[in-house]
Order: sequence, then structure tokens, then C-alpha cells
Amino acid sequence: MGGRSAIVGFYPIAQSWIFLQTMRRMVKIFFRESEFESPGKITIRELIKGLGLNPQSVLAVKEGKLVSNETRLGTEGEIKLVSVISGG
Amino acid sequence: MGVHRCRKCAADSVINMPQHKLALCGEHFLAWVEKSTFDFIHKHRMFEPEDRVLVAVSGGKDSLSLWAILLKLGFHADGLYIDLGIDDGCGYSKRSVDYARKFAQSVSPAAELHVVDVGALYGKTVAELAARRAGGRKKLCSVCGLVKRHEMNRAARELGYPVLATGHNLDDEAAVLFGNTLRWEVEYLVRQAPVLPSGEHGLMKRVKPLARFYERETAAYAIVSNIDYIEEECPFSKGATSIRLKESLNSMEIGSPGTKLNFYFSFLRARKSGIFPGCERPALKACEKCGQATAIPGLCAFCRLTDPEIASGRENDGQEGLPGLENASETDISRL
Repeated sequence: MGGRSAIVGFYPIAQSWIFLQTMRRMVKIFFRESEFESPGKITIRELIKGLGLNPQSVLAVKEGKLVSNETRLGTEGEIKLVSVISGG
Repeated sequence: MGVHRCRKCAADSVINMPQHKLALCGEHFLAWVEKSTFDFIHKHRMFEPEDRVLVAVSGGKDSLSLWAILLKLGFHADGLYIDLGIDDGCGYSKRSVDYARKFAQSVSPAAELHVVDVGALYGKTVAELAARRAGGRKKLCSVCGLVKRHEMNRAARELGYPVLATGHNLDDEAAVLFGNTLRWEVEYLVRQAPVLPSGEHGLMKRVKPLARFYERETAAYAIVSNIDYIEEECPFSKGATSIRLKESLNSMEIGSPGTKLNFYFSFLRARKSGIFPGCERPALKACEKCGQATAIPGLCAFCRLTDPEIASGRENDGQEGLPGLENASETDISRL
């Protein structure tokens, strides 16, 4: 019985630890000439909005492939944000 | 909410288009764009399979995507690059033509690229020509447009292409429509369409086969197709009105998906139903110098801009800009 309650008590702590580790993992972001890091837990849409950009005017490319705005950044790799607005 | 599934195959989608309630994977997105383009060309009778089409390419996502799509659909499409001599410290035109050449090499021998060098032909780059006008650099985008339209028409005429295709997307069209509506420029509104018919004095037919796609869709097509294009904007376009109008429309699109689509296509339907009666295209004349169509007597706006005698006369008078050019540009073929 004691062992079971110890496991039950450990579970949320482990979950929090995993969450914190994930949050700590940073993904490299490239946008225009700038480069920065972002926590991997968020989605591309959240990243775009967080940067004050309009999701209509930016696309995300991960490892050379176009990815949907609902994709999570993940725990590794690089994301390139491509501005789609042109004009003059 | 996770990644949307592709409507066709249930794989992870790469693009979600709320205005169509459609999410697609890369493979099905390419097929959708190509079929939609074919249907749009057919619906608006842009050209027939046997027509030779000249595609105006800038090295950017829209024009290179258009060229790729037309070739994939089996049309005879060649490219035209107009070297405007834009440098501004970053060699923009030189880098742009490299992207166009690289693409042309990848599709050779099915298609060829024609290059027009404005500086070599007229002795001035587009920035130097703009400096002659009142407003100088502020007017650069309109001078650039005037030069491009004149040279596109001339090249299509001289090279024997009956149709000229440009990569204008729906955001480009909606931004122009928005700007003209804000100013109630009825004479421009009445002429805005995906097909601009040919006219007398060698005015060539101009078509916009990508006018039904959002800008992010043409960019997505280029990325998914691995088309290498110049991502940087023209250095002279920073702060341009067209970009501000696009940003405003995109803000509305976020809150209400389909706003841009409805705005443009509702306008086309209203235009077709005769909302602008009595706004016909003015009778065209031939420019006394280049022979191209113009609505003004004498020299067309382009020839007034590039004519060294007019320019030197203006400089001697100590006046800014060129006589009659402001009005002339508004009635030149560039606006017809």
C-alpha cells in the first residue's frame, strides 16, 4: 500500500519535471536576418502571435519542409519563418 | 488543437486554408493549386493550350510558381525578366535574375528565359529614371510599374507572344482594389480584372492566372515545390502603400476568414453586372516614338520618362519632374 501511494505521489512530480525539461529545451528560430531561441512546447501559431506577426503573412519551414501553424516547435531542430508579403 | 489532417488522405496537413475550410498535405496541396489554376485559366478564357505564353518573372515566389505551374499543366510558357538595375547596396536585380536563370535552367529546354536590361537599353536604371520625376524616390514604385508594363508589352509584341501572364495573387489584387476604393478611383476600378484584353496599336492581352490564390498559398506552393526564389523584398518597397494595405486586409482576414476572397470576387461580380456604367476604356493612339498604345496624344508616358531631350529640357527649365507626366502616366497603357 505504502509503495503504491509513493508512486501516486511521485507521478505529478515526474510530470512537472518532464514539462520543465521540455520547456527548457529551446528551438532555434530564424526570421529575416535575426536568430533567436524559443521554448519547444508552443505551437508555431503561438510563436508567430508572440512575435507580433500576423499568421496570414508568415509561413514556417522545418528542416526544409513546410509545416502547419498548428505544429508544435518540438524539442530539437530549427524553424525558419518566411515572410510572404511582397509589394511595391 | 493538433495539426489538421489532409482532407484527401488524412496525413498531417502542411497548410490550413480557413477561407476554403480546407487543410491539405504537401502532395495534395500542389495538385489543388495546379487544378484550381487550370480551372481559373479556362473559366476566364485566358489562353488556349496552343498559345505561346510569356510569363513575366521577377525571381520571386509568385512569378516562378506561375511559370512552374503553367509548364506542369503542359502550356508553352517562356519567361521574361526585366532587369531594372535595382541595387541599393544589396545587388537586388543581379540576385533576382540569378534566381530566374537558375529556374530557367532547371526547366530547359522546355522553356527559355528572355532578359531585358533597362539600363543597357535606355541608359538609366529605374532609380535614375525615378529621380527625374517630381517626388523622386517616393515615386519609384510607380515609375518601376510604368517601366515594367511598357517593357513587358514591347517584349511580348516583338517576340511574338499573344499573351502575357503575370504572377499577381489575390492579396495583390485585393490591395489594389482596397486602395482604389478608398480613393474612389472609378476609372481604375472599372479596369481591374484577371484578364486585360488586347487592344489596338499592339496592346497585348495580359492575364493573372494566380489571382484566386492568397499570397501565403503561392509562397507555400514555391516552398513545397522546392522552387528557389528571392525571399527579400525589393529594397525600395519598404513602407510602400501596397504593403500597408495588405497588412490591413490580413488583420481583417484573421478575425473573419474569407474577407479578402469575398472582397475581390464580390467586386468582380459587381463589375460584371455593370456597377460602373459609362466607364469605357478611352480610344487608344500610337505613341509617336515607340508606337505602343497610349491614351494621350504625342509621346506615351514611358517615352516622356526616358526621352533625354525632354529630360534635359526640364533640367534646363529648373523645374521638378517632367511636363504632363503625372497625368500621362494615369492614361498610359500601364493603366489600361
